[in-house]
Amino acid sequence: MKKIVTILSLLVFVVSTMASVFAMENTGNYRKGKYKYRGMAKAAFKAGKSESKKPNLDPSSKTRAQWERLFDKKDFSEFSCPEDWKKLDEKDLLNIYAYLYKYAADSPTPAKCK
Amino acid sequence: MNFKSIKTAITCLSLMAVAVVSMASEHDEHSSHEAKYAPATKKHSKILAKVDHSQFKILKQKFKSGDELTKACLTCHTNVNDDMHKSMHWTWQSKTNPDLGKDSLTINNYCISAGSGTDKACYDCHIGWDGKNGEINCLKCHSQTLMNWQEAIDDATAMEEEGDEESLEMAAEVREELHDSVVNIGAPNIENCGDCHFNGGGGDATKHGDLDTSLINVSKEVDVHMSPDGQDFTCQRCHTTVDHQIAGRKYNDPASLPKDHKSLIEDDHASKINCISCHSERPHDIKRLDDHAKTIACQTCHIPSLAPIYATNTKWDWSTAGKMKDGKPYKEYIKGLHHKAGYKSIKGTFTWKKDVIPDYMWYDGRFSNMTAKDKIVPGQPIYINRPLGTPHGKNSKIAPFKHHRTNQPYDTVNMTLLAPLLSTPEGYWTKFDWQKAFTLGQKSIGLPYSGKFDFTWTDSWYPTTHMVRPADQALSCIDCHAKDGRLTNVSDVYIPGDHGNKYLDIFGILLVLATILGVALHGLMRFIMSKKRKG
Ligand code: HEC
Ligand code: HEC
Ligand code: HEC
Ligand code: HEC
Ligand code: HEC
Ligand code: HEC
Ligand code: HEC
Ligand code: HEC
Repeated sequence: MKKIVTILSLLVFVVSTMASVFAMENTGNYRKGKYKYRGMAKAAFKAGKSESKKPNLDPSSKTRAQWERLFDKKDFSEFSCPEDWKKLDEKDLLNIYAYLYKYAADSPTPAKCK
Repeated sequence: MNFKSIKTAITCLSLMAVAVVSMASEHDEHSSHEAKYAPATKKHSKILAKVDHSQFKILKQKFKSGDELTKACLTCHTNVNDDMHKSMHWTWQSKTNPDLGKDSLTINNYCISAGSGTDKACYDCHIGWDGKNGEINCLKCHSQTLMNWQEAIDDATAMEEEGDEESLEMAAEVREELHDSVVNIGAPNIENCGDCHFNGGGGDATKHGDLDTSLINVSKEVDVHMSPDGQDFTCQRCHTTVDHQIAGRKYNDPASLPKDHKSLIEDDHASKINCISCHSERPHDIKRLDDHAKTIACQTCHIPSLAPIYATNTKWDWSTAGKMKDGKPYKEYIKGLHHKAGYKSIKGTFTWKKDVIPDYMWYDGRFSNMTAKDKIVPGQPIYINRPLGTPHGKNSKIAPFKHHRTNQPYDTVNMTLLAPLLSTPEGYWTKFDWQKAFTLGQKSIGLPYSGKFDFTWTDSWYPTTHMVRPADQALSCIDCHAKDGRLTNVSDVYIPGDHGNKYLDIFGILLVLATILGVALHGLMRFIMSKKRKG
């Protein structure tokens, strides 16, 4: 019983710190993130794994909260090439997150008559 | 069947016979097809001599700003700046009336007013890098690879400054992409012009039902002229351009006064353009159709509907803007439509329609345009812009238009329509505060705001002139010559078959029937003749 409690609390701890990685530490370099993100789409296209050179999701496809959740869970299944995402290191992920977060649907980037 | 009706029938039949005989001889002798169209003349192809710009060293620099890039173009193309600064693409102002123009007091019933340079987002579709501050971005019209050049220049420059290995690597890649786009120079293609003209009013297909992204690689069924399978025209094939003055109607500067017409068969460049510049006034083999073209604009018969592919915005209600979900602005997209919202917190409620039948009105090529300082009269309709013309007037013809209705804000004391500031951190789209938006917006165009506002419905019309369908999709006789036909609401025109007078109508219908027969006969004759020729 004691063991289960320890494991559980450890799990809770891990999950909560994981969550805070993206929620609190929004320290990535969004510019690098942008080109890394676009580069992944291009690479997937070159390898014949997707139909477009452009990423299938725009930053504005989701709200900030939605990006946060996605990165917390590390659930990259919605991107055109999820396997490649597994290979990214933490720094790249932080950079990409910074980019997507900065231009998310509910970010203050000005809207257009467009 | 009584004697009287038999008698009528006989009269009718004989009348028809007479008409058919007269129709059959209607075939216009001097209308052999060939030589009526204006092929691209030699003069035209000379201007488009393609030069490989990747050979020019000066374009290989690491540009730190858009202005720097343009200055490199101008070292060789020395006169473009002077020419372009005179054009409406730079001034955003009418030459004939300084109150008109996007940078002046002109309003529409989409995003209303560009606020003389204050509403930053509206200047995305100015040809400058930063509106009128600085140089022209030639690439918008001339690069054959569209991209976000400003972003690329800013990012590459920033990453080069950061200087770490990864940044430099990325910067080099961005530079390469930028360079490829900068040297891929040519005459404007449809996407260049379309980047602005297809997306005005709030997005793709929003303002115009005949100018939208469906024109990129369009099928001949939708546009005989711009389709790669049709004539593969660029925009400027019709909008002829001399010294960067692009021909075309805007505001009350008409395109279709006969005195301005120069046949494009004789010359590639004319300052005013219209269908007849290429097709002549008698393009048909059938005289009856040429006769119609004296009263009816070509577009009326040859563009049977608007927005055949993507739905266009027909109604907009600003008064519902500003609703929030969980304290945040939101959008609701309509299922089945190409990225079209039914509601946006920043803009209000929208109605979209596909395959719209246009409004038909008398039109002499001029428009009346309302400005932000014109007074509105309670209880009277408010026409933001309206085609001008007089029934059967010398230059007037019945032409098709896209009609748009909007519930938009007005000043209840000064009785003028209001120009809200929308973009920028203080604008309505960020603050959702109408009072603030009107105060700042009105100030930017130098007009007062009383502090009191309400909403009122307004109407606007835009010409329908693109998306000419193949000839066999033209309106047929019964689209007009039938009860409540297409032109039934047009003032002062008698259309056989459509209107009240019974006797006139019976005769009219017969006349039309006879012509239809004549047309059919004519078609049959053509068919037989072509068989003969082939055989
Ligand atoms: C070193 C000189 C030089 C520079 C720099 C240069 N051009 Fe040109 N360009 C030419 C020459 C020469 C021609 C062919 C003759 C002509 O039409 O004037 C030409 C032709 C053109 C044409 C028309 C013909 C076509 O290819 O369809 C366009 C448009 C054009 N240039 C745009 C630009 C733009 C935009 C830039 C800057 C990015 C630029 N040029 C930079 C020399 C230059
Ligand atoms: C950067 C955006 C942009 C591009 C690119 C652009 N336009 Fe325009 N154009 C405008 C705007 C905005 C106006 C209206 C200005 C106003 O109302 O004051 C305009 C006006 C016009 C007019 C009416 C002007 C007149 O003097 O009669 C025509 C015709 C036209 N454009 C055709 C074209 C063609 C053809 C191309 C491509 C060669 C093109 N435009 C490229 C933004 C653009
Ligand atoms: C995607 C490009 C684009 C953007 C962004 C844009 N416009 Fe325009 N606008 C155009 C074009 C193109 C025209 C010229 C007429 C046409 O083709 O519709 C125009 C014309 C106008 C006119 C002149 C009247 C008319 O409808 O012809 C007004 C007023 C106007 N725009 C307001 C705005 C405002 C306000 C904004 C910003 C909130 C804005 N526009 C943003 C492309 C744009
Ligand atoms: C609004 C769109 C637009 C912009 C912006 C624009 N051009 Fe053009 N340009 C045209 C059109 C349209 C033509 C005529 C092409 C044709 O006849 O097919 C043209 C033709 C040219 C030509 C060849 C004919 C001539 O007049 O010499 C050159 C060179 C050229 N442009 C250079 C430039 C340069 C340099 C810039 C930037 C300073 C620039 N253009 C900006 C639309 C534009
Ligand atoms: C087959 C010839 C033809 C082609 C191709 C063509 N246009 Fe036009 N366009 C016209 C004519 C004719 C008018 C004048 C309508 C009038 O006077 O009412 C016009 C009018 C316009 C206007 C003014 C409409 C308004 O609301 O006042 C704009 C803007 C325009 N065209 C842009 C374009 C663009 C952008 C392209 C390329 C995508 C293009 N045109 C291609 C024939 C053409
Ligand atoms: C720059 C010259 C030019 C202008 C301007 C122009 N056209 Fe054409 N048009 C052509 C040419 C070339 C063809 C192909 C000739 C053919 O079909 O044999 C054509 C074909 C057509 C066809 C026949 C398509 C078919 O089914 O064969 C129609 C209908 C037509 N044009 C109507 C119009 C209308 C309406 C306008 C004005 C909005 C217009 N054109 C403006 C050059 C022009
Ligand atoms: C009353 C309706 C109507 C008007 C107005 C009209 N057309 Fe037509 N047009 C037709 C019909 C119907 C056909 C198909 C005739 C056929 O099947 O032979 C046609 C055919 C054409 C063709 C193909 C050539 C041919 O004879 O088959 C061209 C080009 C054309 N029209 C251009 C124009 C131009 C340019 C104008 C304006 C000057 C114009 N039309 C005005 C109804 C009209
Ligand atoms: C776009 C609507 C339209 C279409 C399509 C149309 N018409 Fe007409 N027609 C009219 C109008 C409007 C008049 C009256 C013209 C006037 O007052 O000058 C008219 C007049 C006539 C007349 C009487 C002419 C006269 O001199 O009084 C005949 C006959 C006729 N049309 C036959 C036809 C036939 C046959 C067709 C099909 C090939 C046809 N129309 C297609 C609108 C149309």
